[in-house]
Amino acid sequence: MAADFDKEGFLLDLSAWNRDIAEQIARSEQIELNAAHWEIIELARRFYTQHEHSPEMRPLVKYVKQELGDDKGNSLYLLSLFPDSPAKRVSKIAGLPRPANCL
Amino acid sequence: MSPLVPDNSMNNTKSTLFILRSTPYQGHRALEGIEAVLAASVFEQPLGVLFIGDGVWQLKKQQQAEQIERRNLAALLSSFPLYDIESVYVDESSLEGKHLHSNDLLLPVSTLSAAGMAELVANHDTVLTF
Repeated sequence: MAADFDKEGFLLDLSAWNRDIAEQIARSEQIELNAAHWEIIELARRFYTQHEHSPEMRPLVKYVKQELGDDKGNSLYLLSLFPDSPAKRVSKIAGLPRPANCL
Repeated sequence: MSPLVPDNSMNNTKSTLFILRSTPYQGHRALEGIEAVLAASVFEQPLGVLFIGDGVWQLKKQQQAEQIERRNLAALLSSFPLYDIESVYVDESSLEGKHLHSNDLLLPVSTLSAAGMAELVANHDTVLTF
């Protein structure tokens, strides 16, 4: 599968994204995607469509909380699915640009 | 506490007021201002945003930026609540001068008189204008 990535592993052509590419990126991040991951990936993509940028951690948490409730809208839950740097990893797997202000 | 006074109750905080006064799609100043607000919000310091003059057009609902192949400022601004950016003010007279009302705007805002704006500016440590 030929898809182009930048040196941090973010997909260059956003329109080239599909579920296979997401699986491929996730594997390179040592993440095995399940339904819980997909739910967050879909939300990150919806955030991007609505707001035209990738979410940093705080807006991602708040957005997930708003859409899926308190059980999932918290950093611990997101960290359990996407360890270390959830906002960055979700965007990467979702085929979105690197969040601009990720600390 | 007056809403015009940023919450400086925590130690080591510095409040910033962003004054956005640029017309939305002429040049890139308006976009730079909004991106600066989003970037600043990551540091979780108190911040306020004041729209004046032609800057109030940035808040107009139903912007069709894709028709001129520009990033839609409305899409960016509508994410402010998700960043907890809730101290959003508009100069009352700028709004009136353009025959706009708060229900034409895409974010909930507080409208301010000249005196209110002077108080707002005086109550912030730093003021940045875009």
